[in-house]
Amino acid sequence: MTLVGQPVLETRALEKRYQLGNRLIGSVTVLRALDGVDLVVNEGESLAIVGESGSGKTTLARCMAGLVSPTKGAVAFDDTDISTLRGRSWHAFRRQVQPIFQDPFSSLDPRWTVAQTIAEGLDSYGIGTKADRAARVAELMSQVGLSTSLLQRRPHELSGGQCQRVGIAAALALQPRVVIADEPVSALDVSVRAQVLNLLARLHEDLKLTLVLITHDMTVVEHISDRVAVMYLGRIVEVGPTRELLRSPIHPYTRALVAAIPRPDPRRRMTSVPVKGEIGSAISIPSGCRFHPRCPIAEPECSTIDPPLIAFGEDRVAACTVEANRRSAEKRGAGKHHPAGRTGALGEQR
Amino acid sequence: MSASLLEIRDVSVSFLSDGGFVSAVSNVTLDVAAGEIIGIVGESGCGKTTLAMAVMGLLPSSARIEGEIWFRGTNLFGLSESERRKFRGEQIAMVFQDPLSSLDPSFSVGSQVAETIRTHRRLRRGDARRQALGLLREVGIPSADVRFDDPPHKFSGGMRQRVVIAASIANDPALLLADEPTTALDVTIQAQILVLLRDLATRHNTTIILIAHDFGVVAELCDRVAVMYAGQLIEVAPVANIFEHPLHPYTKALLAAMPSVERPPGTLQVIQGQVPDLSAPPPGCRFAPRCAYRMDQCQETPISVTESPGHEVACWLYPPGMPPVDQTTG
Repeated sequence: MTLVGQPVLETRALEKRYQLGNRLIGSVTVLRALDGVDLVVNEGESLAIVGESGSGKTTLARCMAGLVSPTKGAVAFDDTDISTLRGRSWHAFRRQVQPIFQDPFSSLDPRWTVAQTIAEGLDSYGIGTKADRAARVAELMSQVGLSTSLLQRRPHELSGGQCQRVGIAAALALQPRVVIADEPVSALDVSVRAQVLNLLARLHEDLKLTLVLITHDMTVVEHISDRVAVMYLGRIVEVGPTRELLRSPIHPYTRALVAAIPRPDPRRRMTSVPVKGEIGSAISIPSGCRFHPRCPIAEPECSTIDPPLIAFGEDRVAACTVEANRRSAEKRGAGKHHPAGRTGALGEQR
Repeated sequence: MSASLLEIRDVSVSFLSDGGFVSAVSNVTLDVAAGEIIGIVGESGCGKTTLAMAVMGLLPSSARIEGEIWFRGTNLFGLSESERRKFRGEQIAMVFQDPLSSLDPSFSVGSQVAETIRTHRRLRRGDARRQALGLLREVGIPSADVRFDDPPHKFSGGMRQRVVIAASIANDPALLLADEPTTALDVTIQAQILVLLRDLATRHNTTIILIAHDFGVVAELCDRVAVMYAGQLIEVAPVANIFEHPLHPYTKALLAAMPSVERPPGTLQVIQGQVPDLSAPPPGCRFAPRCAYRMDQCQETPISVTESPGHEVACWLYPPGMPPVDQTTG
């Protein structure tokens, strides 16, 4: 496990709303993609954000990378609200926080060679001489395990795994502190996926990169991440160290998610459906706890009380009042309410 | 094991491309027993979907097909297109990965299920509708009577896949081909669909061929597993054997490439090299150029041997006529 430092990237009561429909004919609906997200990413950690389609994880990633501006709340980088950054300081932020996208092919410009794609950042920031930049491109290619014989190739001449490596090399070109990878391996085959996951793990380790991994694949999470944040309908419902969270999930949604992981072990088959129903629509989020319509342990008050993230022990939080009450009834004083605001923030304090 | 429902005999499929033939499936022989769920696993381009399409009779006319596929005593390749059509949907049905492209956007989901019934049976509209409604209920569409007349776009991905499954089982087929039926779905929905398929197979005694790339899904659903690489079948075994005693180096490598909490980050097994170009595949074992156990003999096509009951492997590490031992362990 990596040594984890100070908060580097932070979201504070982050909200992102999209207006759908036509204002002229007066049929506007509001989609709440993010509905109050508090999350802290610590320097040097590998944090996974998991959730199903419609949970808001990609919107969160885009806000954190500065690609989308939030409707309310803030994203802070080194404790500075990024919406206040202009000119040089904005560029400095964009340099230090780099995104990697899911579809390795369409995220590359088809007309550009591998060399041009990787050098783009270096060129636009005017870093070094032409020779320096060429040397840096070669270094990056070897770092991500690409042969320099591919320098003049264009994306259509590359395999999916190679495209994804080019994307990673381009993201690393400016020596970022944080890399935000949105489903970086879900378009890849098993054996190629292993190569890219090994690469990300090695970069995280060797370059002390802070890695934010957006994924729906729990097997990837348990393999590569120190910490996990689970999202459901625009909110974070649980945060904790990966192993503990997977071994003993607290939130009933996390429990279902863990139970639904198809395990390569025919002796441990699912005996029943882990959770009924489907994630609701971000246009009409249920009242109270947003998971209550599907929740197997919901109490009547869950349809009215919107639970905050509650501390469960030192480094775990979950948004479930039923679990909190049950545990505090079992063991007095175990489930105190966590101070508001930075609740998702607790890193591994060691 | 009960009698074979489907016998795939030395089937090869190739497609004309850029002036040459690309062999998508090469000499595959496989028996599917009545009532079993068999998984065909492999990475993109290994020929698993092409094999399913050959069984279904949905290959383009440009495809060159060799071999025989016997279904309940009939050689499917010997049938005319109109005879074939009668089998399709009635005795052999298929569920595809993307449910939206299997449904017509301009008709209600209920009418599409009813239509499937009426294509194969003479039924009055009202009766077909009643049966279609029963099917939608059976696959777990909530308030199916209200949703019956809704078009596909009003359903989520998981619900659409349920509708497609309802249509596929409408005529109680003996064989259901499911090509990556849960790949486009979220993990909790995937779990629901897997449990649904398992329940349906038990209730209707349907034989299922599941095409998958995910060993987790296979472990969840299948009785037997067939592993394909570059168009060839390399290993077939009961599901427990595949996970506990995989024999072929490729099967072992694929399992070791799966991310898991037991493996420290950065240590997943990587298979060096790339899948061969199937317009000019390497002679002999197609995995040999990437294989850690490569020998001279691998230039000849390996002969499939039975290492333990039901467990066949095509690899020279297991030469015919030798006592079965696992030589690659350790």
